[in-house]
Amino acid sequence: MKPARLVAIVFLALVGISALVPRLWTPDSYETQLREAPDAPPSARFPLGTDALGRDRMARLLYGTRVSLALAPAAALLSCVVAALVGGLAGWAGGWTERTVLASVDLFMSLPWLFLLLTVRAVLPLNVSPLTSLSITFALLGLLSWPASARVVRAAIHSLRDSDFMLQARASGVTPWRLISRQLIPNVMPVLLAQFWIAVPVFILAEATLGMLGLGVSEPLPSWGSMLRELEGGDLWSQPWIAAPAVLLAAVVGCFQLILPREDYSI
Amino acid sequence: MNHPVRPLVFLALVASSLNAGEIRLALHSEPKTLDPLVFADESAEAIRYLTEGVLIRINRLTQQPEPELAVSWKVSDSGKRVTFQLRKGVEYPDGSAFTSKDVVETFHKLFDPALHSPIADTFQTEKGAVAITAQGDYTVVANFPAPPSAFEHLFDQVAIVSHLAKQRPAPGLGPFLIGERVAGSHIVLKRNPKYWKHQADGQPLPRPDAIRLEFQQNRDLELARFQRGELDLIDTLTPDLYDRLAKDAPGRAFDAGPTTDAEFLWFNMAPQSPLAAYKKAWFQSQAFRRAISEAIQRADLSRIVYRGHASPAAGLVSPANKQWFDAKLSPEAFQPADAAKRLADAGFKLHGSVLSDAAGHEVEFSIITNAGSKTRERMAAMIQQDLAKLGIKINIVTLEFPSLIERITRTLDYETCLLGLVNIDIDPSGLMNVLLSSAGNHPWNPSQKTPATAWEAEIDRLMLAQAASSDAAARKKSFDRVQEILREQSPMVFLLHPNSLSAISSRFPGAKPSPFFPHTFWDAEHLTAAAGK
Amino acid sequence: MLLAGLASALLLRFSPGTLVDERELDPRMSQASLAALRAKRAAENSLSAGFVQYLKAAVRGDLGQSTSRNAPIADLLTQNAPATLRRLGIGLVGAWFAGLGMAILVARFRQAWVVESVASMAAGTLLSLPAAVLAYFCLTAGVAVEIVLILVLVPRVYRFSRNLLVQAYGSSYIDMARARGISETRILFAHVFRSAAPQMVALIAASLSMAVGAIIPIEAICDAAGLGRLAWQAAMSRDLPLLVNLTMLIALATTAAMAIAELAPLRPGESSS
Repeated sequence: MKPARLVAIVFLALVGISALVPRLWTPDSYETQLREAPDAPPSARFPLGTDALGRDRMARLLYGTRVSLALAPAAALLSCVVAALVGGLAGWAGGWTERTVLASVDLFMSLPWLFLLLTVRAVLPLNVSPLTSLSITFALLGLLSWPASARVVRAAIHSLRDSDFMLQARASGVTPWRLISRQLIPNVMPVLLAQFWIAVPVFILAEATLGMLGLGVSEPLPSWGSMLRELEGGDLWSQPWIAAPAVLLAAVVGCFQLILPREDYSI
Repeated sequence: MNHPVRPLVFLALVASSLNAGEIRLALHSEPKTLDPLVFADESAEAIRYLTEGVLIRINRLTQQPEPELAVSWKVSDSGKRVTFQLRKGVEYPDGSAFTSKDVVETFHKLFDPALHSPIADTFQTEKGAVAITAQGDYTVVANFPAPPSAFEHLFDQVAIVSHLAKQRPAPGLGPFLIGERVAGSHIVLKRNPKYWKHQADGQPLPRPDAIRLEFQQNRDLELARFQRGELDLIDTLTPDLYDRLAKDAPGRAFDAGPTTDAEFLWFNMAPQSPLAAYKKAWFQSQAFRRAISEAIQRADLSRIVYRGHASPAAGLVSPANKQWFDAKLSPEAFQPADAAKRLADAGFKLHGSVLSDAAGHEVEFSIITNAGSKTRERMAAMIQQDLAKLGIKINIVTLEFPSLIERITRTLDYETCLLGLVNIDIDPSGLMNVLLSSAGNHPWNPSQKTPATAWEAEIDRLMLAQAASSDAAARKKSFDRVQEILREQSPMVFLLHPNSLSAISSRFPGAKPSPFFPHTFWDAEHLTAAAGK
Repeated sequence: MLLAGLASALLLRFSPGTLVDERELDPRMSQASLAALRAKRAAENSLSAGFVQYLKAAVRGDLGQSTSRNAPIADLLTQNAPATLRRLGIGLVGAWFAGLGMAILVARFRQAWVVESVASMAAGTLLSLPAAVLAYFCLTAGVAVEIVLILVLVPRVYRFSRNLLVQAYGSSYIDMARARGISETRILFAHVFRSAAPQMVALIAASLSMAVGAIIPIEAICDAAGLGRLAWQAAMSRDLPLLVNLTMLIALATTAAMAIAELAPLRPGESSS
């Protein structure tokens, strides 16, 4: 394994463990407000200082990592499942079905899904926990983000459908169901797996963007997106530590990219 | 006067005597309409202030009424009639003379039912609207069905438009005229060459050549541009940005003291709301509401969220409103022990760290507030922690503004709401549509057909009484009692009165910030750029 | 396009807060004024007023009136479009210049692993940050909005074109051309680019589609006048007529980009989006 990929895996594992057991790094909870020390600079007690309400930034960063790292893969999985179904149908059926599905994908991609996100957020019961609310938001993101992956899956299945070994299997009298289950799915799995790993960082970034737009997780639960909002109104020159979530986000997403196979041309 | 040199001489004189310059500031949204008779938003109000003339102007620094287009006024008929003497020799930019016909026609247009102007609504009373008539070219009489309270403030909001104007906005009698307008970018106001005011030495006003109003919603960008010298004034600064500017450029950031704004939390007490019955019972309980109020650390909210640039609120009226502030009321003290005892006496029980009501329901409710407001989100987070010490679980839900308005005005599907009122009218009559139980904007239980409680009936009676009285002492007594009832019953938990935070560049050293809107450019016509800048 | 417009009209019409107006909270408003404002808002946002009437008027060249800006939509679009188009143009040209330039260097000089490592790290870092964060960093540094768009697009252009060019340079006929003494410049333009042309065209189309998608949050966060900020403000103020127009415009741009991308023949497993 390439050294860079190994380092990336080790780093991700370290981040994952830290997120699962934040007490390794800090004794504080993410919500405890130390009101005598708001906006404190980094110190031995608070490695990343405190935020405007006196909460330990390190604790919030670690607990926030849990939110982003746990929910993003779930959303990615959902997105891939929908993409596999839609793209698979289009690629396998071909003809007008394929054209209709592709047109629907284009239409889907040009709609302002922000309203659906705003609507869901606004109609959720008021007393759901922040985690439940965020989980629903991620689920919705997963359900809305399949088009790009569906295109890739469609292209893969389209070419597999017409490949020599599939023609031979069909000519041998293999039933369609067996063709799909024994030939098609195993051959398209690598594509789906690649799409899954591509989608995970995309959802991490999507949560961060939503958080920066004020549509992310509710107080007091932290997430990378809600912490990145400190950049707005914050003085990066005199308080560079407020960029810590951005640095960690870049590092984690960068590691995901190092793990991805180079042959993937998707952008 | 057709000699070709004379205009050049005139221009040279003007150029030499005036400190030519453009004032640059940002508006946080593009005005929805520039019609001065329809107040759409604060941006439109800013433009109206700078481009239109009014009969009386309230000096934003002294809070005293000053003659503008009316040189004097006399109150008679037990306070129901106000006779204005209009200023002579004033002309509109098209050269037409300003007369009483313009005033009468303005009010005729303002009171057009189809306009639905909130400015017109302020002139309405239960007994009807004011009648404005002319007596000669320079006398206008306003006949009120009942003695108006603080009528000077009412006339400060009405732009006197020309009776010849075919559409609005039309060039007005203010110091500036609307020049260039680029949608989504900026509006430039240029000097009104026909402006009637002059300086003490006889030189014409306004002093600035123009005012450039950029549409800039992003506050960080606004501050960055101010620091780069691209903007001269920032009318409102957030506490974070104020502190940043004060550190980087001491002397440019100004704290003009408490505004009349108020931040508060209120309980949904509407019986028709879709809340569970036990929650309605909590919010209907005076003891519950008082306990919540006592458990909130207002001093911390001021110190941490507003960085000391706010004062704990005793009620809806800010100490900045010297005339109507009830000095007998002091901000609610932080008394968590009293709050806990009050809840215990009301049948609530603490099991470990969880409070339950007498029926065993865990006390948990939500606070909704508008997304994007860092101060309110932080206040909600601090209130959440304060109430957690009583065993109360708070869920904070930030909603973007249209969704929030829908919940608090239409569906009534909310439990408590954290919001604020800005630019609250100095006079209590301006709060009729908030404090009367029948009002649509009555926060905790809007549009009641009859007052739901005895204390709300009492507030209605007192508010109507003060509106109908011309006796200042009697009015004060009535309104003081209203404030006391609000404190006793606490349907609204008053939190803070934010200070007026603004920025003025060194280009305009003479600018004095005011706690009242507009904070920095209330005296724009006199602002002089420093020499060499 | 029509479907996109209708779908966005439906989404907006039934999203919460569509029928409310901030002015309802004005404490000076009487009950009658409040009722009139609510009726006006409902009329402005009825589906028949918002979409059906729009279609009828659009046929005559009238794109309708923005309810939040109180201005003709055609005027708003023509006033805001130049800034956005200029940004898109500069962003795309800058991204292609930087991204393709880097990719050519890396593909041509495979032995210079330092160059490739630095380029890959930079691209990876930029890809790892949301456009919103990049926008904030640029805002703090005081750089132009166009730079943000370039930073968003450059890593994507670099990565894809790097892979294409490396593959093209690895072909045996390139070695043959070098052996025959053909100059590197001629090899690049006559052979490498020619073989990679179809995928490059697809990438150009895809980068246009990405740029259109990225410009909205970038202009919204940087508060820069343009179609992106107009779209964000229309969404926040539930301006149905304006949003329908903007959605159809975005759908047109996206569909056109996708159509161009689809025209270019692709290898299995490749995606242009």
